[in-house]
Amino acid sequence: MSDGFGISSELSDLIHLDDVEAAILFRIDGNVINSAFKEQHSNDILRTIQWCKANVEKVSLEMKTNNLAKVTYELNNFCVLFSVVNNVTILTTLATKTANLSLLSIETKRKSMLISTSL
Amino acid sequence: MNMSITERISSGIEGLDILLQGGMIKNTINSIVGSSGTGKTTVALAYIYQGLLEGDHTLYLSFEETPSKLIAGAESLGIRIKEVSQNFTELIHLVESEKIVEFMTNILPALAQKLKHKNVRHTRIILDPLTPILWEFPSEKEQRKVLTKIYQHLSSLGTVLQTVEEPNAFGQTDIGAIETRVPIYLSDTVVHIQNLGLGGKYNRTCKIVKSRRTAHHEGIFPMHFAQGSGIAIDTSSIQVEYNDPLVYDTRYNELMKKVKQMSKDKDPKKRIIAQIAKNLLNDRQEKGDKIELVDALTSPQILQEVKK
Repeated sequence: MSDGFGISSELSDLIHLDDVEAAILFRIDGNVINSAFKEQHSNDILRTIQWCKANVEKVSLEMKTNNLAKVTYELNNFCVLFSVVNNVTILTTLATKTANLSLLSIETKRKSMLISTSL
Repeated sequence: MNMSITERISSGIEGLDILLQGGMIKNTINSIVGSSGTGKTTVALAYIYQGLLEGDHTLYLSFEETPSKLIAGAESLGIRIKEVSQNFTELIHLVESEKIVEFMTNILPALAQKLKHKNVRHTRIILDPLTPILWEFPSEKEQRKVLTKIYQHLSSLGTVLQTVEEPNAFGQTDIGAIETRVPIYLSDTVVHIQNLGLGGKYNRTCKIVKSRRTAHHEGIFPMHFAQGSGIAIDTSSIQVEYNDPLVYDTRYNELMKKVKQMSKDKDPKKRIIAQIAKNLLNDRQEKGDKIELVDALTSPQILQEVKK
């Protein structure tokens, strides 16, 4: 199995969780490395993804400066969870407002660790 | 837009031809944009090396480094230019900074005309780096005027690969910077190479910003310096997703070999069939069907019928 395929399968696993709409692996400069979306995603999520792409550089710098492993934002009826994968990449999970954040946080952290082995 | 009639040449960079759906389109302007130390010159050296292997005419214009330094750099990465070129010292031309304007506006167009009259089949032209030329013409308006003229001459002569230095501040890169705007705007293909300097697989990457007449692959792809080819791009993620017959299918490769052989045949009818087959194989929209069609078209029975 190639590394690229390994990452996509981890992201696909994430979107199978209830309330998770999308999972995107960003490089810290905002470039998308890989992504997975629920088949029927709303148009609203695109606005949130755009926000993520525009802000991932700022967020990752903040996380690095303050040694934060994860950061959560709530906006546009979604919650966005950023989790550090390695020096260069950051895993972003987008879920609905009603998502169980504790569970999501544990699962995102686990996936971050799994993805980091491919990078 | 018909993408099937475009003839492509190999870039010589492992993985880049896959991202560009078969290589660079002949007689186009291709830019490699990146900050210092990303590997732009290595890409240029691999491109010239591939040209030498394929028997193309080459014209490498260096605006900074001396030919001996460039060749030594290539050899250190296993790009054995000395082995394939007898006159390797004449392969790279150093254009001194005070002669840049005269060279680009007068000598180069004249040289292009001369080569055209010599009936050279195909030329690979390298401008490495383009940046000193841009500095000579500070306004974007002037840059556009001069570059348009130069590109017209050069693209009629062959396939151009130019490297463009990108401003770099605190490890970050800026593809939209004023310094790179005009060459990016005028180029047919722009490849952005980056090095964040933080380590890891996605630290050094390659991205196709644009490629006219090509349904190129999107996204960033890991890149690394490799002994032998200079630079290699990891396209394993797309190789799994799409089984692109253009590159991986052995049947495609066999057919392409057969078609190439046919294109050299004395019989003009066979050469026409070879051209049709080549065009069909270059079309990636209905790859499976096209391979079947070419297989039938180049079968001995059909060729016999054509001969009759």
